Amino acid sequence: VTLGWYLAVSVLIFCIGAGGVLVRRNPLVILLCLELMLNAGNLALVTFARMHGSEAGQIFALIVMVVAACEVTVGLGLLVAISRRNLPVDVDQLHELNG
Amino acid sequence: MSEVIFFIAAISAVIGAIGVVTLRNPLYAVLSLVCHLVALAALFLLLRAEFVAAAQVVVYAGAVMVLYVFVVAYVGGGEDINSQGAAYKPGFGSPEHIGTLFLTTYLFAFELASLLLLVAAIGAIVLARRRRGLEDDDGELARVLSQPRPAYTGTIAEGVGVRKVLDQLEQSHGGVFELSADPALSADPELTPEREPEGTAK
Repeated sequence: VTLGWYLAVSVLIFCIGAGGVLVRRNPLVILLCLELMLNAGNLALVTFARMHGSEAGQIFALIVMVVAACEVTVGLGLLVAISRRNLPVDVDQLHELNG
Repeated sequence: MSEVIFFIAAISAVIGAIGVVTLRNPLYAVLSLVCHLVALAALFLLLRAEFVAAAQVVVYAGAVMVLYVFVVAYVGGGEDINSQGAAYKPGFGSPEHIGTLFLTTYLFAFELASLLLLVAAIGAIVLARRRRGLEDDDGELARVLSQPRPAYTGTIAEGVGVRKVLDQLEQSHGGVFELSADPALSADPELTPEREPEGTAK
């Protein structure tokens, strides 16, 4: 298996995630799709690390994991706050911040 | 052998990703993402990224997904690409190498990540805590304040909400109360409530 296949899988997963962010309206599923996109980026980073025989890409992937964990923490905190106020769990109806 | 593992892992990763987007029930979407993450960890192992694969399983499939499940329960380059990879040297991607790099070359990113985690933890607590003032659960406070009590005796209730106490007294006695800086005025028999025990106003 050449490394190009890994990049193809990465691109496919990223596109699925991006499509999910655009299509789905539940904020929880949108967060999950963001995770998909970040993981596709991770796979590409680790593949490039393998390609060049340098561990810098793996370090970057670990940092991306930390950023993803932070994003999940804040996103789920927002979600808990939304459900506590009995607001609709639907990004189309949460339009208070629209300009 | 590695081809077989690659295709099994790649196909299950893609199927997991499709499941995340298409499944209606968010809980099933989360479980589908767990499948996707484990398959991705297998791909990381094939790419000789042992530590990243371990972190993927422990941090993502373990901690982050548990967080998701809890919330679901709560809410409801230009150069020629070397496609075979660089020569594999023993120890590549091992925890020792990764740790050494983290504490030498990438020390700044490491410290920045720890700070980011701290900020996110505090932010989550601030976002998800209960805000007493914004909810309609101050009935207990109103009940306590509605009990008749002597005026201007330095009770804690007066200390935290003199206005509220005055309003309550006004309601319960039908008289007009005004907050005055002059203590003698508050001792005025016309302004003090009739139920007030003797001597407490002085």
